[in-house]
Amino acid sequence: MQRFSLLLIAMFSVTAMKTAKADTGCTLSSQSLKATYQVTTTRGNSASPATTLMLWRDGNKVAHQYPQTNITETWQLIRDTHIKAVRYFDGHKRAIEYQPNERIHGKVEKDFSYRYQLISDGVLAKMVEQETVGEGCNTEVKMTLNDQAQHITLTWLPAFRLIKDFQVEAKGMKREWRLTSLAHPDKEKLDTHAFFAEREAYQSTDYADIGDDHTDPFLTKMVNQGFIEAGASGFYHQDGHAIEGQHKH
Amino acid sequence: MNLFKLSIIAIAVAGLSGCFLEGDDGSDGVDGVNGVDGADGSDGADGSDGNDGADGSDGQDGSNGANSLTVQTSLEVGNENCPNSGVRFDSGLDTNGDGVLGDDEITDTNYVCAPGVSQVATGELLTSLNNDWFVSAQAEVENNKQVWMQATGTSTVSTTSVNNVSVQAVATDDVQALAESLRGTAKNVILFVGDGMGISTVTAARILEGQMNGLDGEEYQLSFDKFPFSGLSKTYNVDAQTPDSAGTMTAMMSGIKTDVGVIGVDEDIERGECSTVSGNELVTALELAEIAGKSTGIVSTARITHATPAATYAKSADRNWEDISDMPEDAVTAGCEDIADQLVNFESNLEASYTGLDIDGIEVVMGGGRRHFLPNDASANSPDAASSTEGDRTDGRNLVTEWQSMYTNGVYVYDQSGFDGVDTETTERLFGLFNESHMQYEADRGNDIAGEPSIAEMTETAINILDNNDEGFFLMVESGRIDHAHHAGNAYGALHDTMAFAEAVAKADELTDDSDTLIIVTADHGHVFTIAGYPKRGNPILGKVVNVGEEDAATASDGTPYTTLGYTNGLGYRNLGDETNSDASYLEAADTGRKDITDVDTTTPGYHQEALIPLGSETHSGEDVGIYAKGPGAFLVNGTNEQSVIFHVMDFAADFVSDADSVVE
Repeated sequence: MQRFSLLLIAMFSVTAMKTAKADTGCTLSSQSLKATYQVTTTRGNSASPATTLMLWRDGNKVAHQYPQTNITETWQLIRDTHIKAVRYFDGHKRAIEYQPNERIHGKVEKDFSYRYQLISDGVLAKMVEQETVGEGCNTEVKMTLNDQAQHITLTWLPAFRLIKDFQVEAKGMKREWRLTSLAHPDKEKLDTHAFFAEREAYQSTDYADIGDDHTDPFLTKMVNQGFIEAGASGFYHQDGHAIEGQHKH
Repeated sequence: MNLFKLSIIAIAVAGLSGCFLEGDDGSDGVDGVNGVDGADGSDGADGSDGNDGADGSDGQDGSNGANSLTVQTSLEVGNENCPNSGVRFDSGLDTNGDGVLGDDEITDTNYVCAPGVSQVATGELLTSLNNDWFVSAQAEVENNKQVWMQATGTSTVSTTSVNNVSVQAVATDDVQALAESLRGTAKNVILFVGDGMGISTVTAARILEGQMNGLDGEEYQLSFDKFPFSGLSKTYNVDAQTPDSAGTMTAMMSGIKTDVGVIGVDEDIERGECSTVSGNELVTALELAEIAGKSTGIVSTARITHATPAATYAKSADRNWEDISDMPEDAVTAGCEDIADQLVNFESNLEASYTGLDIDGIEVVMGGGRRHFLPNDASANSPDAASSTEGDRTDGRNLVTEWQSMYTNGVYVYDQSGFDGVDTETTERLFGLFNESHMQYEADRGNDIAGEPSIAEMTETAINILDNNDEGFFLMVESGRIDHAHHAGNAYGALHDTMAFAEAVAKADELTDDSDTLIIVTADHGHVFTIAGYPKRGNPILGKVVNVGEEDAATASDGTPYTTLGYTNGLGYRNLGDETNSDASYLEAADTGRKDITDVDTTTPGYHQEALIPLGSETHSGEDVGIYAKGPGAFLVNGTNEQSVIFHVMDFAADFVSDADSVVE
């Protein structure tokens, strides 16, 4: 999934991302919410079990929570230029931090929109609008993108900068993100701040320090099984076991 | 010893030259036989004597003798009669006169053999003696001898008279007394620690820096490669074959090896058990220097509470107790202090250890790790915070403001701008925390939010502040991120941090005097990092192997090219190139084993070398690391040593223990 998702990435500045929200007259916040998605993947006639992704926003932070694997990943936008990533292993109440801009630990993230919306502003800008239906908070924009590499169909909720339905087909594989519920602090008494605060209280380890500790059972397990580098979309459970049918290494 | 061997060889050459002889002339012909005398006359009356018969005529000249010939034949190494090569001389009469000494004409055979255990033939030896490498190495040996004599105070002995015999003549008691007289001659001591900077890392960084300077690279020297003394350090911890930074730095700073994972305490500690700290604390070189009245400083590109810098000032049952939130409740209740707390309160803690002791505390502290000094409260964030709440401390204390209250003459800085504004001649005390966690990798330093000084800049500022004390100083400088880049499997990062580290060493060397400043450069441990294959001279060290005489990359048995640098374990291959967009590669699992890198530029910052064993993080290694030294006491660095010897070299050079004893007694 990760490599497949990379097809969606375009180099667009974080500043450009800010302009993506249309003025629909909706009074509900797009910056504090919880959107739940069902993610399905099909290869030919073989469908993998559906997984759940909960996207949380709280100001300049966004989280992708994967309940099946008990892993949550967060990204925080700092000064519109730096993105700090943290991976939370919820079952262990442990966190691994990645310092912003550390190229050595991975390509430096510059496209916050990709994490914030599940689709980057760059890809959005390339899509062709088909029709707009509804109004206010319920405004939906249907878009498509066809090129040699992929076929994308999207139902976009501009009021919240959220995807409602997002299908990508490429190389014999089809993946769909479908919004199943949407909650806001005002409407559903949702405490997005508490969601992030709870995880920020976990015992945290800088990624750079993992290799130095020989005795911490949690870190030792990570080092030996390598799943500290996995997680993400949930190809590994928090205990390091690969999820069948999702990804092969 | 080398000189001695060469002398023997030279003599042998001279001997061989004398044996290249011409063939002897033939002997003169034998004289002719005299003519036969005339017959006697018959008896008669006595009468007059008859006439003597006439002399016989001369015989015919004899024919010329046969020429004597001598033929010399060079003998290769391994010859039955001359195992080390030589020349065989066959001689005899050329009886058939054909000008050639046939086998049946040889009447005598002699051998002149090359002496000793030399393995080279005559011609090769002459080539060596005139070779630039040979000559320069010979000069280096001579220079080393001079350095040693200067270090031991025997430089008055003339060069020509110094040989094995004459050196022995001043040995034993005289030399020992001389050496002992050098104790305490270092006013200043600087210990540089490249975290994870094993031998292969030094070699590869040397080549890379050389190549970046337009050279082939292999012949280049990093700043500390030029130091006159070096040795090896055995890095194992008391309970670990492959060590960690906590145990190794404790050994270097206290002279006592200890367990993995513990700071400033001996092997009787139980890791993580606060109650076992008391009574097992070790005294460090920094503490002794402080007691002795010297200025003291700590610089690190890691968090200043990380294992290596912590071992200079803290005592902790666990290296991870960097702030109170990292400690178990029972450890806090039992009275153990977190490492950040121990740094800020170093002065009072040390004074409490010795009755009547009055010290002035650590003058210079620079590194990363603000999170461990700030409360878990966003209002305490630094202006360049990279997290919504920068501090981790759960006790509500702000150790930065505590430090500022304690040292009203001190200067606290957190970014490049503040650092640049420090006046080293008027600043008595400096506290710099430039990052929430570790400082940036050198390769990424330009990406920092508010800017960070380089390790060379920090070293320069530290020395310029510390040297304001006429009593001298002790400074520890750590390059902490060499280790981290290796853990990530990224040679580019590790080598660039090593080069930055070497630049810091050069700056320290430039700012100090060899006559009063001991500089030691070493590592705490190595990494499973290798330089392999048979790349030709000058082949890009971060590139693929191109064999000698070839232009294209060599291929392995799987038909694909391979890099010179690699790791035994870790995350393995990644090709992140120079890209800086949103692909978060850390989301990918370990990808070890062979990859087809035919079309990959392996010299980019984002390239991660292949690894054999898949692990989430590349590991330390257990082999020895180098120690490089110059200045007073540096001559003690040689051979293969326990890592704890480094403390004793520093103590010899600066006489820390005696000086400190004189204060506390």
